Amino acid sequence: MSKLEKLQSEKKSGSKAKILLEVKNLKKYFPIKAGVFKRTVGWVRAVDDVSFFIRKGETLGLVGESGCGKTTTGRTILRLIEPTAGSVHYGGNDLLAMSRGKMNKYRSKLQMIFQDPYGSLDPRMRVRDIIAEGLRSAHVGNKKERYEMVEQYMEKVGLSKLYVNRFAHEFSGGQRQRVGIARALIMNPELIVCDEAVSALDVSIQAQVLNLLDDLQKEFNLTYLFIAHDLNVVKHISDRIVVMYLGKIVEIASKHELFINPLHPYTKALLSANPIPDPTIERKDRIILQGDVPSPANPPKGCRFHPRCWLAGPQCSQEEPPLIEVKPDHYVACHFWKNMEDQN
Amino acid sequence: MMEGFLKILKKIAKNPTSLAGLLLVLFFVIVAIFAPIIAHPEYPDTPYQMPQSGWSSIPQPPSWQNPFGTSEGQYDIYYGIIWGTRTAFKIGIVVIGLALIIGLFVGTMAAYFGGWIDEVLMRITDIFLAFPFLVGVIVIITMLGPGLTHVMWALVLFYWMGYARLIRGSVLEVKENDYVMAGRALGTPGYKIITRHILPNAIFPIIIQVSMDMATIPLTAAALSFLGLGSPVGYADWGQLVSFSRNWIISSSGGNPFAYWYTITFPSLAIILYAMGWNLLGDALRDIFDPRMLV
Amino acid sequence: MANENMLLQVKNLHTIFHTEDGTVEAIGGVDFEVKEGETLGIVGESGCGKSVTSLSVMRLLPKGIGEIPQGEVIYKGKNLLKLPEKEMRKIRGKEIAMIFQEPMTALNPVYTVGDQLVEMVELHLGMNKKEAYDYAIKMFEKVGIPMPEKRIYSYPHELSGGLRQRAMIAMMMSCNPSLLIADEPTTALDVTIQAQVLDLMRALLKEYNSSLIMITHDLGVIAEMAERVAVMYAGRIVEYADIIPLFKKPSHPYTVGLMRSIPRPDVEVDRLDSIKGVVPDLFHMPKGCRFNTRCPYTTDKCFEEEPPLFEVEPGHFSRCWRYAEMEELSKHWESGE
Repeated sequence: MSKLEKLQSEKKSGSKAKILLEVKNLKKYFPIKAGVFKRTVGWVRAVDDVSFFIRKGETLGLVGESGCGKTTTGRTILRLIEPTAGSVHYGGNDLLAMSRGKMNKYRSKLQMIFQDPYGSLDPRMRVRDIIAEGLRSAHVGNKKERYEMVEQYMEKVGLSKLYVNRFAHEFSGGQRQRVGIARALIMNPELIVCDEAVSALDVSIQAQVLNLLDDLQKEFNLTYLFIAHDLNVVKHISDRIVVMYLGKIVEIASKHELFINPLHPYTKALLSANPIPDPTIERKDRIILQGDVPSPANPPKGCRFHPRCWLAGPQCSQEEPPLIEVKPDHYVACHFWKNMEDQN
Repeated sequence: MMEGFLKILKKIAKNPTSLAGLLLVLFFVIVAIFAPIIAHPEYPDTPYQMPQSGWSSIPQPPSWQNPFGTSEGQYDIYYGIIWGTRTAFKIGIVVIGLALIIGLFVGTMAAYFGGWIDEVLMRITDIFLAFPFLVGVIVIITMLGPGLTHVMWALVLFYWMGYARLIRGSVLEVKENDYVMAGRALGTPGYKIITRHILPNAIFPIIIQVSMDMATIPLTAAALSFLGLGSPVGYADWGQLVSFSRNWIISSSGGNPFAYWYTITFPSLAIILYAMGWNLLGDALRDIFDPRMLV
Repeated sequence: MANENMLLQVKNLHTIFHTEDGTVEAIGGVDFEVKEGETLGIVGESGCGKSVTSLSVMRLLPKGIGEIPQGEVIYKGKNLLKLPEKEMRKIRGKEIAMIFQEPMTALNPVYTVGDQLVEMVELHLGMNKKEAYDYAIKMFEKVGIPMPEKRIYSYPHELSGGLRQRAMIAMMMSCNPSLLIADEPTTALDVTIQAQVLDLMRALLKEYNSSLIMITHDLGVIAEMAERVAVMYAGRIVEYADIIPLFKKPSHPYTVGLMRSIPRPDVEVDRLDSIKGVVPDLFHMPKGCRFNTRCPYTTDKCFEEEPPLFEVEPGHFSRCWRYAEMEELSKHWESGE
């Protein structure tokens, strides 16, 4: 069954898959230190009060431009960075409230694929040891059993098992990313956070890896949190999409709803800026945003997007719009979402 | 694996300077290993004691019995150089080994944990760095009394800081790599991340430094011996041989001013070649230990 | 071809690199033309030779490593490859300017952006300091940098990525070059900033009637900017056509594969097509057509002989033996996973 059909059948029956992971009021502030005594002079609000959930078996896309906090969100959920506040509920437990030891038991269920296929593999380890690292840390099987599993999973991700003794630098970018996928997959995870997993790859290779991720999702019933800046990639792979701007979520919707009926001006600008590979399409209504993204160390008061927004009224610079569900499964944080809908 | 090794040899062979370094160091290693055969000790219990063929203070030129001549006090220069090779390796390995262990510990802890641990460890390092190296070493030796072991302790005490700083920098850099983050995401405990990912990647950039120091440290020890602070009289040590030649570098008794050339030439040559070998080997060593060279 | 408004003609350009492991050909037999006021896109993946092509045109190949054994680069009737270095220096910056992917590395970090612009106009336009500073402010204003009279005193690291690229553009346009070469100018930028920068480049090109060679891997950017496109693969131009025919009727299997493998905002597919395998490395190029290791439409001939550039239609070229059947063939694509 294709993804589209799956989604439609879900809509018809009205039954929604159960929620696998729920993030509530997540915050991560990084201190800015200055002076001889390293005094904290301010805070970079990388992630500022973010709440969303991921359903079992779906792919949730997380898009935004650099500095919007999408990577920090992904890393904080897995506690690779300690959060400032908030909770992440998974299987009836709050991951963020656990001791480190207990958290390590959950690690195998929550895995990550990294952006940089060069930097994310230890250059001094052989591929079989890279892929087996998680098993070894979790004390699964003996060495021989682990290596057998490695070979099995290498074939699953489309790598010849003849390569087990190679070093990372002997592979191409696409193959390295497959190693990274095998390393996560071998832990038998429920959720994989893909942090810009295909952005460093050439376009023809990118398609191979996206297809692989798609196949693996079906075979292993995986749930993905897919973090990327490329709207087209996110649209292709996701079921629902979260849009972030300057540490805040501005909109959450199913991908079709988001692309057809964006209710936040930033989402609309983002979609409009996205180049379409078709020279015959004339884009007259193109929105070109003015200025740069402000610094997360000193975000604008009120709605963080208001200095660049063409709809902004006096209210926007005073009052921060909450993220509200304006339609089933469509959340937006804008005072003027109704005007947006009329425009669409 | 064998294939990779051959490839490395090929790469090194392509670069004449590192090849020369490799050959020089290998030569000295062989000399050190086979010292008992190349220069048979008369008293196997005290092989490091250079044999004396008399008590005259005037050096004797090379002969069949003493191929490199004898020094002031009739010590056999040939024997001293051969066994002095062992002394040089011993000092180098012990001093650098210990300094490296201290440096690794301090540097890694400081960089990995950061914060106040970093502050405290680096300030201690700064305090040690504040002493002028040779003065510090001489003060310690004077306190402990002369002797090779004391020289080594004193050198270790004032030599680890360089490594600590280098390793701290290297670890800080390696720590930022995604594979360290990946290790954490896989549930690998902290100490294993340090030993498995961080140290192996952080230590290799300093291999060159270690190689250079293998040359420097015996030179420093030789200098201390020259000043009479190192090994006891008659101990096979290049520094001491140079020290013996101090009064004979230029002949004071008229005639040919370089009549006693052998007293300074042979020990100096040994020191220079040994130092040069390690210096040239530095780059080659980095290549040998880098798996990326195996392509 | 003594065309009146022909600006640049590259003919049979070959570039080789002398590396530790031997000599390799980075590009072989590249031909293209740029007319006045026209934008040519060069598209391809990493290692296809698109950046080497631009460096060869500018004669900026690393000395002693890169070499151009044959070919011609005819700019306004002069062969740049035969020009003495002193003459060439007058052309760089003034006649042909270049914009890089990461302006941070192309700008000198120890001088203010204003100083760098001033230096260039002093050198090429012979202005004095005062005039040059006024001109710099004018240029900064033109590229949409807010508070230009302050920003010219900023150092590169004090500007955001978007502003840095704008400053770079201001600098490059300051001498009113006839040809601008932009190597992935927006790849490091976010999409909303990319839209700003592309918009700005379009406006400036129109105002100055300059030509542009736009080097990128992004077909979306190409579709928006270019009038003609050269698709490169493994050191060869494999397809060369006007923008609309290229997208409507791609006639080389690599172009077909490239277009099928990108996720598109306007088309929904359940599964992407992909090009099997990887780009061959320069030391181990296959015999025959260079794309034969990844092509789904190969015949025996493709493994024996390298195809020349065939003219599919007037002005539309393809380096494929089966170019004539491509429209039919391209209906089916074998991803071969």
